[in-house]
Amino acid sequence: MKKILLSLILVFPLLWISCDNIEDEDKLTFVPYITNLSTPITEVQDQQKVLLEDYTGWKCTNCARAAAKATELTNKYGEELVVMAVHSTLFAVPSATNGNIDFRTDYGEKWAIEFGCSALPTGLLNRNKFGAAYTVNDGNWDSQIQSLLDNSEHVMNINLGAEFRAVENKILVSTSTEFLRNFDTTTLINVVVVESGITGVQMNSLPEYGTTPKIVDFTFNHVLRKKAVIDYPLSSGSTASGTKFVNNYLLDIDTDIIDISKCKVIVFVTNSVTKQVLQVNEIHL
Amino acid sequence: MKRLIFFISVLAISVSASAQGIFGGKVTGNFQMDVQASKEDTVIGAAKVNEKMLMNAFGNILYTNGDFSAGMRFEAYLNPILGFDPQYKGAGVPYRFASYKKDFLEVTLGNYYEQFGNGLIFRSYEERNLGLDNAMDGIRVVARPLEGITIKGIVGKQRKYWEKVWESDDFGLIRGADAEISLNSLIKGFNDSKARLSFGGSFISIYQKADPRFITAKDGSLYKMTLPENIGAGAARMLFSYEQWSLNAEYARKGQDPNAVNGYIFKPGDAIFVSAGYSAKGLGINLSAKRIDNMSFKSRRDETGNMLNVNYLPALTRQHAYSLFAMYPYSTQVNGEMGVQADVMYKFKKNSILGGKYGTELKLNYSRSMSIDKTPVVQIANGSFEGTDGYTSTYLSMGDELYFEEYNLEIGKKVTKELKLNLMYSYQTFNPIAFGHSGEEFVYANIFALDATKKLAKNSLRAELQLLLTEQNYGDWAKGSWVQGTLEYNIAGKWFIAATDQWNYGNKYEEKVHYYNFAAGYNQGTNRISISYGKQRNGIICIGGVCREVPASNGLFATITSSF
Repeated sequence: MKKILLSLILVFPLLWISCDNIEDEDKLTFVPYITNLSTPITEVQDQQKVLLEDYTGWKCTNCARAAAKATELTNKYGEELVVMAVHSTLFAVPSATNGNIDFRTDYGEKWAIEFGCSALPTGLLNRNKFGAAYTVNDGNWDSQIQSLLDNSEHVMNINLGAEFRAVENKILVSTSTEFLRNFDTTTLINVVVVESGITGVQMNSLPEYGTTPKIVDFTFNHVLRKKAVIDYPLSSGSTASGTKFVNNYLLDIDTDIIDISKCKVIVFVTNSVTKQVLQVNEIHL
Repeated sequence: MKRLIFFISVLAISVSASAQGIFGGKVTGNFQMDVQASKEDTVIGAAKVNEKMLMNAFGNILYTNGDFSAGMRFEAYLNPILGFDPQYKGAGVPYRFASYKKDFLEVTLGNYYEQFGNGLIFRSYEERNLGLDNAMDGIRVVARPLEGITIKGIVGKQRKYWEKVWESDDFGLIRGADAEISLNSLIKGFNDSKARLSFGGSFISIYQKADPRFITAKDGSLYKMTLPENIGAGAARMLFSYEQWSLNAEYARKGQDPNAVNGYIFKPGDAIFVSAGYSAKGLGINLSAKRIDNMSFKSRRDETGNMLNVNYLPALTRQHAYSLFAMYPYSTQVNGEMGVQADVMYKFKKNSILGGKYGTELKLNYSRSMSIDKTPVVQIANGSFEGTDGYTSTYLSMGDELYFEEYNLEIGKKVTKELKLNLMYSYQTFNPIAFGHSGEEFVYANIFALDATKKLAKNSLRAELQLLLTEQNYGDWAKGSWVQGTLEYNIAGKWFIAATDQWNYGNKYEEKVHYYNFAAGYNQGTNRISISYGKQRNGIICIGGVCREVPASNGLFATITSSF
């Protein structure tokens, strides 16, 4: 009997693994973000940029340091650097201490798992793999950004237009993506909104970055807030140099957004196989 | 290069060790090398081979010592011979394992091949002639807690050429378990019963990360498709025999699995396989039937072709050795088919009217595969059924489309002590869907073979004549009638020489090509060397319903096989 019980241990885990069953109403979900409306292109790109994803959370006691580093690098690199603060993991779970302000998004959480961002603060730079890992410590952000700017191939430009449509409470984004060389792999486009200037509580253990153990009036910048599309196919298979894709997206703006004037739209395109960010651009509203 | 040096070292150690034994164990192994030199031939469509010479080779080394065994296989495709996927290019050790038994447990670490039941939900195997190898890499545990009970557990990923499957979640992680109970072994009172009964059940779950998938509806609106990340499949089976009678039945069901083969539909799949047999002296009868509905089961949802198959769905058609009978082979239609096969073998007794002095063997075979009934659901996407259930199907209703049908008769007759004859006739109805020509006209073929082997003291002479008669001439893949003649002379069981000509005399639209081939070979013990020169037509070879295209070639082909 003992042997039988031990043997059944081989089988029982499968009862838990089982299989996923997608309910009818979840199989196909209408995506309201694609539109035929358009807005003029006003942000024309002509240079390779780097996307810094700062994985952070209000409970992370060293994250004020990383936020300061991101601000410093923004000043240093100017338009060549686009910053997106992704509040995620257990460090971002709201509580009464921070007034239950929740900056988490389901896609931000998914990225944190996918790219191994569990120990915060940490960052991704163009979702490039550095050795075996995607993550880069904030102390190395500067040197790696410089390296990427020096060495990345300029595959495409993302030209942008954006307008806030107050009546509908929506942001309309138009993108014109032009390939500058032949590219063999499917690419995916991501359109998100980040908001700056949000005041809130940030735990902190480093006196040089603010009061300890918490900063009650910390200013959160570049906070990932909304998305239009995540990993939506832009090009399929091989794409010839000179190919241009024009798309339009609508984003709902609800009461989560505190000040629309402090929002900007970030658009980035990734390689569907390597996940690497091929190009990024941003436009202020 | 490091792997190559490692392999050569192991081989050298192993060869010397086989004579002496090593640490009280035993080392065995085998080796095969195929070398091809083909030249461009625009008439038969043989492509230019830039490398001039192509080579496939492999060597297995197996060490066994009591309940412990370990082994490895080195493979080299430098570069792959024609018809093998170029992704095989390279050399290395794709297969290595260590295994031991202790008490009621058997543990295998590394690579392994395994099959649950008839393979309807899980079969990991290698078929070298198809260039197919879906060896598992991971862990397998087999428990035999009581006599008559076997429980297996597996976890791992499948091989795909030389790809680093562990570095990407795009390659599915396979978890599975199988349990089999033999009542005769388990219950003492039934040990000597003439009725033998065993039951089995298995379950497989594949985890594969799902990236968002978007589809555009007919009205231009956009939908996001939610894909299941854990795909499950289960099966139940029984094996019963009573004296000369036997029954093998298995039913399998697969959960939602939108994939590239089924067009990303959510409909669950199922399969049933039943085989009943009667076997007595001089008489064998086997009747088989199956139904498959949406049972492509791969460990990567975007994969098409032969690689990364998790399950195995056999074709219920006769496997032919004569080349013209295998010209239009059947390929299992994994998205839906119903098939039946009847096999009868009867041996007329010696010294009877039909048996003659040495007896006569008669084999009859009938097989037929049809589509299944499918009623499409309403499409959402433009031009496809993506994101829907695809269709509904009445379980026992056949569809309108015939895929394959064959009537086959074979007579084997030993005429004298020295002369043996084999005759075969077949009438085949072939749907070109197996060649990827869905919707095109069928091929109807009468095929004949006469095969005579004459013993000449220590030598033997074999003559073979085959004829394929068909009116279908479509140019590319149906080229009218063929005739083939073969002469083969074996000298003392060591040397052989052979000449073959396959002539496409009925081709209406292209040159009537002679596909001649001359071959010679030598056997000594477990070593065999053969070399051939000639033309090979392009076509398809199928083994167990799994097929691969073989391109035309014109040139030399040499093979060395060896084992120790």
